[in-house]
Amino acid sequence: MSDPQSSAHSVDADAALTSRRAVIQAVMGVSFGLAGLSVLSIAAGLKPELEQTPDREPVKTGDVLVFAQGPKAGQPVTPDDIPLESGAVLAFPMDADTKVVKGAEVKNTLVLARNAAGVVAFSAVCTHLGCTVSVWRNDALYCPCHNTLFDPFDQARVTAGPAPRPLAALPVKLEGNQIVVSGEFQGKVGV
Amino acid sequence: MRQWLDERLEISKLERKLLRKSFPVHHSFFLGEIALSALIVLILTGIFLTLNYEPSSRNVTLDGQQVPAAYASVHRIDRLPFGAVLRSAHHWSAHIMIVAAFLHLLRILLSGAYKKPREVNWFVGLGLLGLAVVTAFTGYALPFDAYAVTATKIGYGIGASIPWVGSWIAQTMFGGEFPTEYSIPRLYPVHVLLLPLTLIGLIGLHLIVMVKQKHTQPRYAERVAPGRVLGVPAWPHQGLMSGILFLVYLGLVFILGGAFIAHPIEAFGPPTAATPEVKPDWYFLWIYGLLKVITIPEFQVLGATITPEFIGGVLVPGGLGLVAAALPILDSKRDKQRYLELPSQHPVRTSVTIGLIAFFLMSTLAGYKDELGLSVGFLWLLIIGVPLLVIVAFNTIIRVIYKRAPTATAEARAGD
Repeated sequence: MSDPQSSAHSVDADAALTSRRAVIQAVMGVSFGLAGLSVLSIAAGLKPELEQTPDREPVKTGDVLVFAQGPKAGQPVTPDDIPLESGAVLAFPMDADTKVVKGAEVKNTLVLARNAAGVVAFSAVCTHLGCTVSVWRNDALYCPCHNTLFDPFDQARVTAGPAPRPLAALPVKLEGNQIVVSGEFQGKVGV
Repeated sequence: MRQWLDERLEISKLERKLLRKSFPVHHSFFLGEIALSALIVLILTGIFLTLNYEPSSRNVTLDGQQVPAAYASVHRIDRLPFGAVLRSAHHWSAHIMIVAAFLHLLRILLSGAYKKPREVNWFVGLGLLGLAVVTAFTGYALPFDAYAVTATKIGYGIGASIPWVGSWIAQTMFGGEFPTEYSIPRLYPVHVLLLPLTLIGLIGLHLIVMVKQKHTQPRYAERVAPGRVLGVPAWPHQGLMSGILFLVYLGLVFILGGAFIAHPIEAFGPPTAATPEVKPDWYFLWIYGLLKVITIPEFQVLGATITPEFIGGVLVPGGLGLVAAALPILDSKRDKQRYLELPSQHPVRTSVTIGLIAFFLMSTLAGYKDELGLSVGFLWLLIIGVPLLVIVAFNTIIRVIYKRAPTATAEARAGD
């Protein structure tokens, strides 16, 4: 003979057991989830912090432009060193007081061109994928990576190729025979 | 000794179960094994390279010139006994692994082997191909010559072009705005530790799932022994074949490494302020070509800047990867797939696959835009037009040649 009361009791016990198991599973799930999330605090340290050294300081007004490469690397560029509408010169800014060449920071790489109106300076970091724009081709500055042409005598406008915006212009002036920075970059440098 | 081990570990039982397992045989099944052989050679030659490589870009003196330590150490490796050969074998093995993995993927695709129940291995395989390419890319920078630095800088730019998170991802992966003094110490463990371990783990999973599910069998198996697995025993037949294949591979890749010295760093020199004219390896040429011909200006979406390099370098390859991942879900099957499908019996899939290859080839052609003197507009016509034409043409040709309705016997006969 069946005992309705006892069977009801066992169903209750089962339900209690199930809900207890559900609670334990939920607690374990939340604990493991939180433990997993805490690992993210390690990820926060993955992006390295660069130490600021004098040769990595940003370009500032008064810096003298010097050759970035070649036999005269580190010596001031004079306007006569830049071929008239037929070539480009790569330069780094040099702190006028400390004489530190700030070439350790890629974003300080500059490209110089010259026409009858004078010398123009731009960031040499291509706005497409960060290659150095230093080749003179088709009467323009040419990026060797994906073939963008920038017109140096028209605010480095993109005349052909994939670069999404012009090179950032850097105002310069002549002091004696040296090319000196006279302002800040106009536009975003690099990619 | 054997009995001693057997009494404790029951190896005879294991042997009966595993070594007598039957392996279906088809020449196209060896593509994956070639990729595996290449990985083994990569690990062995890679261990030799790590023992002699200095993961640092600090300046050292080499032949009276100030060069990065990494560059100098690769220079030293080249002068060790067989050093240049081992480094070249490492380089060519990476190429061969990617070719073999890609052809392996094409085989799976054309024979419909991605369908139920093998979706899992299709996803794992796609992940492996992506990882193999990323692992190869992280090795680019390590010699730290002018060429390597330029190629890696472009990779950094592509990573950094991802909206919102790109800058963090790229700076974490490349140790700051590439190149910094943290870049080599960051890329090195990623290349020799993190990615290879992930690759080995995923390959283990790939093989376990393959052994469990077995290959899709050639069609003749259906006639000879319907409903059963027809093949050779795992040992000695399959094992010996794999072993011989590995030895042949080892011989060939060392002949290749001895005859063609890879990436001659002296020819490129240490990194300079200027950028040399570089082209990426062949498996990146299609992305390189797309980057050249996507010339739209950047635009804003939800506060993020979408640049042409993001579209060409991330969206297009990522989109293709997503389509590939969705394939077994879109082209599903209720019953389990036991036998290879014939490309001729699936004209749409076959012609779209050939169209995809045409797209890769046309995009690669765009990488030679300036050398060929082709305009951006004409290249776009080729990149979009040729694949479409190829798809329509192959679809028509396959349907005309194999116009009979596919029947089991026709497929079986043609598949022998």
